Amino acid sequence: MSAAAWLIALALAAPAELLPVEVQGESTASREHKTVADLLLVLDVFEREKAGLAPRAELRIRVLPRRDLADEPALELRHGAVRQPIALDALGRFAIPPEWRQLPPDAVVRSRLLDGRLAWAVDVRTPGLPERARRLGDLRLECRADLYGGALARGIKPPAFHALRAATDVCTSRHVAWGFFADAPVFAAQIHDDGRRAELPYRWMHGSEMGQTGLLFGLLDWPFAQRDHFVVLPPDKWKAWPQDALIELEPMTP
Amino acid sequence: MKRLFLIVLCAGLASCTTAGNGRMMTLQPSEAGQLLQPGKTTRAEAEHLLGAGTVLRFDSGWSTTHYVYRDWPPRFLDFVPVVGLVSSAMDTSETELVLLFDEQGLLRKFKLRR
Repeated sequence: MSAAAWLIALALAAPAELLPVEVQGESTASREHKTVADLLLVLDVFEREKAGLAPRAELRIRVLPRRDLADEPALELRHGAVRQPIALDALGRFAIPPEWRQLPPDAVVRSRLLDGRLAWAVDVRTPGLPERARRLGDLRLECRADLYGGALARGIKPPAFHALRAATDVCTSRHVAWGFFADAPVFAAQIHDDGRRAELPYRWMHGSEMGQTGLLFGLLDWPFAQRDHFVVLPPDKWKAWPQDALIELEPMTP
Repeated sequence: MKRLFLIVLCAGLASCTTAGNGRMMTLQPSEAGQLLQPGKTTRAEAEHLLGAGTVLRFDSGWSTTHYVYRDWPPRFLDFVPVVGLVSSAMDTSETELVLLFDEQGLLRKFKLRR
């Protein structure tokens, strides 16, 4: 009897209805996640410093595909046996509810994506700004809430960084690079306030100063799928500009 | 003293920096507007006009080509410890041209900054 005939015979001999089998398990591969404790550190800095930098701003946490734009973050809040999906807005953001302060210490926000697939960012925005514009005070607070708060973004932080952070404000330091992701691929950025304007040199757009590839790129969020969205603040961090200065982002496409 | 001399010599040799074929040094906005036409100019045509610039490619297939001309002090000094603190803070004369190409290699936008 041929193999095909054996298979047909076996199929005919099988019971008409097989009982469903349920298999449960969870991969041990590391997934993208942040502890709720880290997110609350972001919230702490935001609440403490918003009066001086961005009094009307709202805080969100933003997750972006880091390696492949097709990746869906699909976040959920987890603690104990609780699995609660987290809804994201069109920009991939969610708010930190105040009641998360009561969650147990094991609480995490977790994605089903493998570690390394997402970029996490503090997102501070004052409502009512023109489309494609970011407010400088909002960006400064994003930096503070990350580097002095939850440290959500990947970055190269040697011991010298920590020493500098203890001694000075790294968000205004020439020695620390800081940037943000625009909402769409961006071609140019221009800061303006009260009739004064300045174009951001291209070397700060897209991290172009760092070249196409680099040995340290794996330690950063921006050199991959989101690179065309990335804007680096100039070394002086626009120190001479007021908090209300706006950064206009010119998109790549009309 | 020898080291200081070497730094000064190197800086002198590279007192200006440029990318491309040097046309950037004199390029005026009106001339750029005539040479570069979004929707028409191709990457090959732009390179023929301006020489090879610094290319940055994105995952989307789009790319930028960057040309920069900078007079004294040269950019590399920005990265020299201590010296860089001074040079990067100095007002410099810099001309920059950025070309944006789509995935077909067609010019979509350009920006000339002086």
